[in-house]
Amino acid sequence: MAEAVTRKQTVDVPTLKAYILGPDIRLAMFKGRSMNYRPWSGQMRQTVPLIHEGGAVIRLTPVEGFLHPKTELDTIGIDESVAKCRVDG
Amino acid sequence: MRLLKAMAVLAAWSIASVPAYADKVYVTNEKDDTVTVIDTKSLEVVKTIKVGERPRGILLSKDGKHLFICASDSDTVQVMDVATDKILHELPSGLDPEQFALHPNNKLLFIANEDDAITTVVDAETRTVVAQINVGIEPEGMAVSPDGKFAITTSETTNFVHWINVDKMVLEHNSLVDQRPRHAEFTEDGKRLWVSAEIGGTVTVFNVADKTEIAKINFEVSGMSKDRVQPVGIRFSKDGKLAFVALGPSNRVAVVNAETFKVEKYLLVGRRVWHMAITPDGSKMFTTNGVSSDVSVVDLKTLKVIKSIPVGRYPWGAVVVPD
Repeated sequence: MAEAVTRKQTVDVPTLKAYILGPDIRLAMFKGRSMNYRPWSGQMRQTVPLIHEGGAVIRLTPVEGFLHPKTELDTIGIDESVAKCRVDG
Repeated sequence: MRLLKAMAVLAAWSIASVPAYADKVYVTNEKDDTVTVIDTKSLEVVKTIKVGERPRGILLSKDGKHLFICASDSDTVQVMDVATDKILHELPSGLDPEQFALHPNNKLLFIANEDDAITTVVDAETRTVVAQINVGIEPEGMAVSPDGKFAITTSETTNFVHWINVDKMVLEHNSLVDQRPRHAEFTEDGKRLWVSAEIGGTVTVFNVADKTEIAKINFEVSGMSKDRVQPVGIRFSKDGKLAFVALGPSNRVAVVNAETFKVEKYLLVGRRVWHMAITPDGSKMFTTNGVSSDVSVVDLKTLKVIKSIPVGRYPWGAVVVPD
């Protein structure tokens, strides 16, 4: 929200919503990874760590080698072409 | 055959007898707590030196005698004697120093304290803290203008470029840039300031006189999704005509025309390139590749990558020490 208000210099809700769910927003995530939202489901595109019981990070997904035409973050979870969930109805 | 052998011996002898003129590159290895020293002529590693924990930012004093090293996890800046490669003493740096910049007076060191939202100013001679200035969250990039009037801090989370008035030691102005600004660099004439935004994927160029934005540079690496093109380090060629921008996990360094702001070329280097150092004669550039734990050597005449040199784990900062 703060990022949207800073960038758009407005408190107009539809404008902010469109920006937050749109392709231009870039939020800093873990280890300098950029993050935004899947427009079809509203899910946050984010890295998922695989963690050992003791708390050690074994692997951070997206796993290297799994390629995606848009963003490697969409190799995690159900992608747009197969997702039944649609945020807009 | 005997003649050949004799010639070979002679050749070897004549090479060895040439005075050992060579600049050296000092590279900080974040994960190994070491500094790797590379001979810029032979392009071989000549030495590895143990330093404080998680060394990152590294710079040379104006007189060329000392190296300053940010040992982030030791919460200190170490001062190394270039002649002996020994750590002389440590400076009070504030918590988690990552990047810093030295004032042209060779005395004041401006240090970004990532965890504290503070810029600490240390007098390197008296080894005391002169000032602490509150800035945005997660300050990282640091630069001092060549005329010594401004110190710049960029804050990674607040996305501001902070202009600090050095005479008064106060924050004078803030400029909003794209997400996660990581590095700030003044052109040699001091007229322009370049700031990279790692998540925003851009470099913003400011006109220093009126602190206004004059250009925004975008990068496009074919076959690489846009969120992996993440600008960090910036360096200018010795003639000032080109800027080199390290693009992180896209494994490229962008060659940018410093006048037109057009990207002329992308150089493929090692993985996750952070920072660069250029030899005083302007002929070679060394890039630190964090993930592949090596240094790429770029021939700046031909703009070609000519060699990869294995160093310690997670190389981060680099500086050239002239012979």
